[in-house]
Amino acid sequence: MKKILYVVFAVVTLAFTSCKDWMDINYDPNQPAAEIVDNNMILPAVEMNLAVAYADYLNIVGGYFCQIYAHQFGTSNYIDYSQFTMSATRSSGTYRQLYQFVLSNAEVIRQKAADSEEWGTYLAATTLRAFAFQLLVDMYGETPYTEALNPANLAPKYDEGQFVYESVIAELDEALSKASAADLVATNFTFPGKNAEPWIQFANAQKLKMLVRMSGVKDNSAAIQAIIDGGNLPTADIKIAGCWAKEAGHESPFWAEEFSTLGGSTQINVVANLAIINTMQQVDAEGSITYTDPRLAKFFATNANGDFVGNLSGTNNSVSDAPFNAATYWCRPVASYDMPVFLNTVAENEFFLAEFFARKSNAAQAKAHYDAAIAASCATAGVAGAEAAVIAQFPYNQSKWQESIGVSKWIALAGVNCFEAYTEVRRLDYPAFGTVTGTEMFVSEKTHDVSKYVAGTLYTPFQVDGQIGANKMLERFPYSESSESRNTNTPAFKGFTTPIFWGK
Amino acid sequence: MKKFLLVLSVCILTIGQVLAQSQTITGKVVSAADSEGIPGASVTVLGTSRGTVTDYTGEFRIEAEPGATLVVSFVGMRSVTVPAQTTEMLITLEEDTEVLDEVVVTALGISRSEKTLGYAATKVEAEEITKARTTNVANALAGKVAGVQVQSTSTDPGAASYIIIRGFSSVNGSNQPLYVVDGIPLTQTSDTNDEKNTAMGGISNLAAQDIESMTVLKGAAATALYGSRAANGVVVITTKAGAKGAKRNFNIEYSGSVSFSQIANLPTFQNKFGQGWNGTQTFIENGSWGPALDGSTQVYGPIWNNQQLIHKYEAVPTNIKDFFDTGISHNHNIAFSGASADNKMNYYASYSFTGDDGVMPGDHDTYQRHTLAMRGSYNPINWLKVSSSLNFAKSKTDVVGTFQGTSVIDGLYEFARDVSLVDKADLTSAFNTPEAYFTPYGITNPYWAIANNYHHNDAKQIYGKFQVDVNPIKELTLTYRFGLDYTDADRKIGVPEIALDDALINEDYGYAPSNMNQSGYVWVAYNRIYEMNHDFLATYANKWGKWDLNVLVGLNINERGNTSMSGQTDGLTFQTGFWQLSNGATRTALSESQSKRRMIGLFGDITLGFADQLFIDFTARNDWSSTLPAGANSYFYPGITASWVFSELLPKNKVLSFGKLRAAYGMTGNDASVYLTNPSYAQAFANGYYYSEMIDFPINGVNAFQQSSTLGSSTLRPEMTSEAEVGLNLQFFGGRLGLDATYYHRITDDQIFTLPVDPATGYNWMVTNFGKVRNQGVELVLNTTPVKTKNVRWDLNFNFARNWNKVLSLPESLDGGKSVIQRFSAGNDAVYVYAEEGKPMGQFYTYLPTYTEDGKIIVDAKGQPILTTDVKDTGKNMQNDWTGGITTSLSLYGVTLSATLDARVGGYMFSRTKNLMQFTGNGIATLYNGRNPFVIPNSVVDNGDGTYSENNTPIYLNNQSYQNYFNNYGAAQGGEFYLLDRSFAKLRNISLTWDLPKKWMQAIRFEGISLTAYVNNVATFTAKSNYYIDPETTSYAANGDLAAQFGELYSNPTSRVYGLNLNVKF
Repeated sequence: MKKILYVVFAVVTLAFTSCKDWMDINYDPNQPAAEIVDNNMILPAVEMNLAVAYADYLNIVGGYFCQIYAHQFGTSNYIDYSQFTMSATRSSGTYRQLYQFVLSNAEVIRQKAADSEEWGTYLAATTLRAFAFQLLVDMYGETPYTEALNPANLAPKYDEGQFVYESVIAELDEALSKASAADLVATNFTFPGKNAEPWIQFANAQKLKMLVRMSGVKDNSAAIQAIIDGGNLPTADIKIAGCWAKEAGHESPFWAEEFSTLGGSTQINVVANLAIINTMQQVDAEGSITYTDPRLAKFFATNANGDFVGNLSGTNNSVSDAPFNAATYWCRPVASYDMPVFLNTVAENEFFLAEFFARKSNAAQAKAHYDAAIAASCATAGVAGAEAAVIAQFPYNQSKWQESIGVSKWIALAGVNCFEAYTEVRRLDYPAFGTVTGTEMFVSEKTHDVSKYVAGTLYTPFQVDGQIGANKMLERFPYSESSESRNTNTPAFKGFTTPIFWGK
Repeated sequence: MKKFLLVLSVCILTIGQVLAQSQTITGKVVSAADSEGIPGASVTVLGTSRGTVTDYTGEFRIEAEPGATLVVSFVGMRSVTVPAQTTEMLITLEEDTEVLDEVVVTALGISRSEKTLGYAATKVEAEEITKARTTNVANALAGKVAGVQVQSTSTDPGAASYIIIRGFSSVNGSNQPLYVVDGIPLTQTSDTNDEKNTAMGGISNLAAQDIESMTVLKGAAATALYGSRAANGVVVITTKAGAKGAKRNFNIEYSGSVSFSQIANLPTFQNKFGQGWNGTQTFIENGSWGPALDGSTQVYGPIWNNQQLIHKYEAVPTNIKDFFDTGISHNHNIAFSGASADNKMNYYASYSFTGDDGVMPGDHDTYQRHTLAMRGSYNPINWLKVSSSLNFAKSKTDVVGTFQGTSVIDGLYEFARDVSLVDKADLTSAFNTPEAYFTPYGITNPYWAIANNYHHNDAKQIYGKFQVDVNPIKELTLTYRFGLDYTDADRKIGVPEIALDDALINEDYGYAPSNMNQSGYVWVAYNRIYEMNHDFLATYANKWGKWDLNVLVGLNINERGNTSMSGQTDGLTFQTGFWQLSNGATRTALSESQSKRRMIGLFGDITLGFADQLFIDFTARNDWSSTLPAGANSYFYPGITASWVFSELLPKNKVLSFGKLRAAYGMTGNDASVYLTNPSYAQAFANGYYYSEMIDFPINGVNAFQQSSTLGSSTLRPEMTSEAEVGLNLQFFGGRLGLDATYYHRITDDQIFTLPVDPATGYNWMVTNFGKVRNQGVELVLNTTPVKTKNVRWDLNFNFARNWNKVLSLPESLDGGKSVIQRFSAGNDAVYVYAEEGKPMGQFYTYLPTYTEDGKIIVDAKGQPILTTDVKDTGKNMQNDWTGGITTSLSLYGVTLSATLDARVGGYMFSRTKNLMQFTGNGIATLYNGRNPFVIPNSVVDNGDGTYSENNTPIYLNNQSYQNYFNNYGAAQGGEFYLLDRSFAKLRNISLTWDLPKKWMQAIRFEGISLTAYVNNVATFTAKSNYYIDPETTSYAANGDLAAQFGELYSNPTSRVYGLNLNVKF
């Protein structure tokens, strides 16, 4: 018996010798260890997630909410947007994309870059971080900031939008103070092969956008003047381009979502809204075209008949009166698999500068920047030099500067990014609601009476969300479902028609 | 190595000194009724894994030490335990249905007398398993074992099944029991693509005819010994061993059946309104919201090549049902088994084939399985026994997926009521392909879908064991067992390309067929899944006077791993039918994954018995798991059970023949999934809205990585289940009435949970320990034999289980103590099930209408309900209130009629099919108020000043509001309209078996022939409000077994099976 125990003991001892190594195998072989991942491998992922959030989802939602887009016949993927309806589930994926994929990874980059004093990379990550927080505020009004990105806190509190804006501006200042033009920047698609110089310009443009956006509620003149004096704003549009390919996983986001057959929905959803079409192309009482914006054909493709026709917000009914080919009846946005994702355009910056001077009642400077903005927009659209006709149609008017800038900006952004357009419409309150409603313009599913539509106005959709009502914009998104259902500190929703802080 | 050889030689030397004390015991087992020998009776040495069966004369030989306890048992006879004697033994068995003292084979392959067990172990015999005539043996347990819920995911050929024992304990991990076949744990493997769950390995590849018995071990005390994986119970399967035949040393047995299946459960469709939308007739709609059907002649669909379809605008009530065929399946099993003349060697070999073609037209839903089983044992000398088994299974499955879009089921349910479906079968007509199909709204002709979509699974599984038992001294058995389970699974999905140019479309009525364009893809995945086990066991059994002692010490070393590679290509060159990666016009994306985990378990068990009436059992186990943080990967858990056969103290009486009280307390630890302890990065991607992974790296030569969505934890602890149970077994009137009652109380604490967190934390999920879940319940089994005469026998058995499940704690930081188990969210709808503190797991939340304080529904300016902006508790839960079953069998002169009823009552499920019936206007509920205008009853408008005024705004068809009422407002129930009462009672099986008289057999030299006619899934009785589906179906099994309870997304209807079986013993 003793012997047997000895044997058992021997066997067990043997089995457990070097057992520790044998058991230490819990490292996922499919994923690189955190230690070997460097900023060159992370920054492109941050950019791409920001590009998809901004150019795909937010562009589409924004397009419907500010009546650049309307819905195609017979499909219903986004008909709720077209009716100014928004729910917590709709934005949940983008909320996650911005926090988990953009901000969380940007934070890793910032820390690694700070540790190794790579201030060029630090600035790039800080700029993209500021962009993402700005989007979150523009979507929800309030968003977790001070307690965000800390996995030790499962219930991060929401911070006021203005506080978030001011805090990320301070972060940009700090990053700008450390970076110099010659600093190297980790691998990225925004400025491939470049040093920190264009990132400094991008950061300044980002600051300008946020500072002017706040100017209705806070005087940021000194800070804006400092940016102007610094003379370090971008001289070219900032975009992710040249990397797209016509294959699954590599197409430009808006095209991939709405036009490609390679993934997701194959349905056609997004078509032009009659508001933007009839603003960019105007007719007289006889129906003769009196004005066509040179950018129109660059922003929207003509329908099968070669005409520019936009649909009405809030309707998507199919029709059964032949002969009629609805698939090609409404205009669709011009899109291609390699279309650039614009992060910042010269036109946007010029409009902000125009606003800065308009608020200071410096009409000359305001007009100069306003005209420059339209010229830049034409250049972005590929019709450089065609701005005179636009300026003649929508001349700057200092006494109605909100309307001048609001309407022209809405048009300019219609082919750049509709979320930015939507944000600026909410803030400037222009284009404003006209007197004619969607119901009044509705004749049949394929015929809308646009004779009473006034160019550069919005209208109440044919079917509008019961909680928004007539002549109102959807001012904010309900807090994301992925936050609201998991975070006890998600505040009570302030209501669909309560403006974001900058819109008060 | 040198060390090892030394140890080995010590081992052998030791054995050499102590062997030769065992002897060959011989004897004969006879029936008390007629003193005839009983062939095939089982003789085992108690406390060991040694056993044999009697030959055709009832004689046996077995190696045992004189005085060792032999357990002799035979189906239908009362088992006896006798001390082994050196002289020829004569053992008499009495006929008995009480099954007072079953021999239960536990997961370690060791037989135990049931009366010594202090916990519930339910055994299901071979006969019961084959009688169920299910392709997947897991389904054979349905309705038969109290507290065991078999969830068959569908009745499609090859569908996977899940077993849940005593309710759900794990919020996030698996609730599956451990499956052990002849001492070897098997890994359950299934394919969960296309919202279908197809069995590919594990016990699904066992042929029912090869099984001797299945035993379900339920409590933590029962399972503590079998390690972490047994935390949710154990299903122990014992396969048949070789034995001599009646007049020869071998048996040949053939069993074969042919069956036919028919569609059984379809939604109830309306037949009053036809194709259209918002009350208007439209020619291309995918639903029946059009005008009332009037029998007029109408065109429909697009105009293609100057042609258009024409039909009568009248209901085709059976259009969907007519689509389905009669399914045919057949099953053959042939087994050859025997024993050598000296009984030292026995063997069993069998081959079986199952071919199942389901109710879908053609052979696109099929399952074929070949299994080959070989096993044998050899007792060359009395201290040594070597046994092995080798099993091979090969299966192939063609799956008809149930996804949204161009699947068969979506095509069927989004089909207008006035169109004949069987007329769409000719795929040479453009009108029956996407080119000019009558509706282009994302769905297509089911005939085209079935012919062009491809989903094929191939699997090969090899499992088996090699075992050596050595008896160095008479009381001690040393066992080494190596077990292997290896599954090789190839899966392939092909989605056809649709590339239409509308060139021949003259008129599309607003939505061109080319909107159906899809690039198509081929997806391939090759998986290798393996599991290896080494068991070292030492068992010691002895008896001193009235005292019995059994001691077991063991060591288990387990390794499990998984390797897979998958590839996908898009933009097909050949639109359909060529499902190879080389078909891709664009790119081929490859990805790979590997995982490996190891575990070491050291365990011991002591059973002490007194006077055959009092038994106490102590178990303890320590596990070391590689999936827990290094340095903190060890955990210990003990158990104790007691059983008292109090009837031994009572005087012999005719009323109470047997009584046993039992009590048990035990713990079982559980480790984590792989790779949850360290931070990690994944290759980067970006999701679009409808297009997931819209951006995939590398892009343009740049590769990138991003932090994993899940934050690992370096401080993970094992999750612990502790369970107390008491039970009572009573047998009355000589076994005519038996009761087995159990109460249990189980707490699962420190759950390892992948918690969904606010993405603002930087992660979407976080691995953590938290939460406590309690299951307590009762299980009642009542076995009766109301009639028992020489030639007539009627058995009627009932089982009932009620489980009260409650989440005792979840951290408050987690949205007020609740966590999402599963959800559906699409557009503006969202239905969630939560694990919520203070409630049973699976509480449904959704957007609900808002009400005034006095209960009036608040509507908006359009007369529609104002729904809440966040999800609210519906008060409904996904778990059943109780489950139960009735099995009965009536035998008259060799003819046996038997039936099984399975009932699950209470609880709700999510049903997309229900929602789809309203969306399309095809469901019967859309006839509300005859589709005439109405004002929502008892509704008010909020005046904005705290007062309400009566709502006068009607809902009517022509302004979309009637349809919106259903689609956007859930018929004034909000998201609750998705929920369906999941109660059902299912008559699972009726069979009629005729055993041909024995005397006929002698004439034709057969040992036995029996003929069986059977019907499976005979009838399903559902809640009155369920017009839609068989509530047993599920689509969410890919997300875990708890999530699988959520409900169904799209599900193929279930079918009923009629069959004939022939069983011949030579």
